[in-house]
Amino acid sequence: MEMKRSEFLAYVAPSFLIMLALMVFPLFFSIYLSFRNFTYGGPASSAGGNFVGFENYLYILSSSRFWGGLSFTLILVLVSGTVSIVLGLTIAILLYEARKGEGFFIAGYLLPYTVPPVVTTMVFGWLFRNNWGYVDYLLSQIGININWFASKWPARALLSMHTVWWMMPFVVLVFYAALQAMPQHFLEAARVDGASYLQRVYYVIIPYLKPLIIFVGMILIQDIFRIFDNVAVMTAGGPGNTTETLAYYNYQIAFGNLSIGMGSAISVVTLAFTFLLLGPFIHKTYLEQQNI
Amino acid sequence: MKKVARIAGSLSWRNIIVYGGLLIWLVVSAFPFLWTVLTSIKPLKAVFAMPPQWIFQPTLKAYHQLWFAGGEFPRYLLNTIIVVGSSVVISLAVGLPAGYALSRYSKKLGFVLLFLAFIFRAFPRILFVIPFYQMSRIIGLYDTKILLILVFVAVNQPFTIWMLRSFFMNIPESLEESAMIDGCSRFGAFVRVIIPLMGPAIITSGIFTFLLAYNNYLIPVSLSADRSVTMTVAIAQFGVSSVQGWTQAAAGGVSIALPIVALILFFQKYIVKGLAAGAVKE
Repeated sequence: MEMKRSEFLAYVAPSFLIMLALMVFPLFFSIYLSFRNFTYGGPASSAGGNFVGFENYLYILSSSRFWGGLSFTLILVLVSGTVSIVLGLTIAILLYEARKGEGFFIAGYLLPYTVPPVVTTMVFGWLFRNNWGYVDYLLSQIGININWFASKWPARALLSMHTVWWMMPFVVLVFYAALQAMPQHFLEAARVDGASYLQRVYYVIIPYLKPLIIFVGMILIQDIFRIFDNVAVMTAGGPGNTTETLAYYNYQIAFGNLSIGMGSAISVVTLAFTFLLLGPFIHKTYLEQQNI
Repeated sequence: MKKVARIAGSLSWRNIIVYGGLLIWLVVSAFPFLWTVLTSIKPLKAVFAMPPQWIFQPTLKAYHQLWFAGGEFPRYLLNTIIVVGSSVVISLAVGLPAGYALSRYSKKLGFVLLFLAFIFRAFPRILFVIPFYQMSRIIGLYDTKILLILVFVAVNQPFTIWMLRSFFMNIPESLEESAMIDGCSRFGAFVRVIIPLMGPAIITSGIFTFLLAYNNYLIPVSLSADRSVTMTVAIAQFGVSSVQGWTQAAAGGVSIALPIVALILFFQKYIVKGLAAGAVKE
């Protein structure tokens, strides 16, 4: 008994009207604002700013701060994304091999992912504070003294490490769930053929998980492009804007300077870059979902 | 003798690698939180002692200052409860029929809407926050809880309907069909037959919409100033304030994390299931 079209529309109407009013409309409003030089308290602010054509976009694309934010965001995607997937896969396999106590480990693993990022970033950053943080103390005991917050690459490294620590639970649990659902005869067949453990991982487990690795990568890209809280709490973009992500730079322009027009333009450009990266994944999902 | 043999047997290299690896990551995951709990109950002098002190006279002073000294934190908690609670209830109420219909309607239009929701999920949040800021200033909704509730419901809707749909897919259509043959309307069958079977799925989706709203910082920090400020905004302020504020910030962090810890302890299975549902479907 297939659902009738009118029935279908009635059921989805509330949800899609909300999305239409509160997402589609703001999206177009954002695009509209991005063509205006609207700044609170600035000239012409009472009139909602003037139409300035592509001026905001040209300004952004020629601003080194924008490219800095974009490149750090891409570094996070590349470095933290890759490390999360490799490390996450390792822990997921260990969890799969453990025959007892998985629940206990999972409970602890979930903490960095489920506690609000403003809190986790604060507590993670504390550990690296000079003369106070426990990790900084341990490092100084073996003769390593780094001021994590004072220069570009240590601060970037800190945020990258935090991103891995924060995203790991998601990666681990998605892979772990898939491993549990994996048909046993795959591994059995490889075992009978005399494959070593690492061979089995490489030739059986990884190919089995491949579609999922792509899915996880896609979610990681989305989440890393949204990283804002972590930067705001850990480094506030410093030293000297070097740890700004695209989202953080966007916030600073829109709400720090109250340049609503420019801020809108940055978010439209961010959207374009997100979809440039996600394009192939989205196309693939489109083809897959069409067939069900 | 038997016991010794069993322990020796379980101490194989395999187990040492497996449990050793798991234990190391457990320490990495949980240690920062342990450190924060200790900081929150340390006297100020012990907080800055070098080398770090493990033994000290614990005190609840920071918690007292945070919650009972006439500060704003209790009000932020109340704001958070109202905003997050309402957005979870509304998200589910609106998302359930949509997720159901998307799982039962297989024509082109259903696919198009589903795919649109999938695209919306990838949008940067600030793309919506800026126009919301502008519009709410114009119509006078800026810095109200209603605004935050509306925004949370909207930005979480794509995620909510995708997750609910994947759970509805697991419920065989024959169930509501037999109810409809017995004279039930489709809506009657949906409410009386299907929804009662969705209990665990509703809990799972509820947890995730809760987390998305409870953990968010960008939306409340951009769209509230005073009246509707939530706990995440307040704690971020602490983080950058003076060094003396760190015990209070730690106490605040622990306070915010406690409901999440409770959630993990009581609903761990649902959280794991929800994470898996996003990925391992069909």
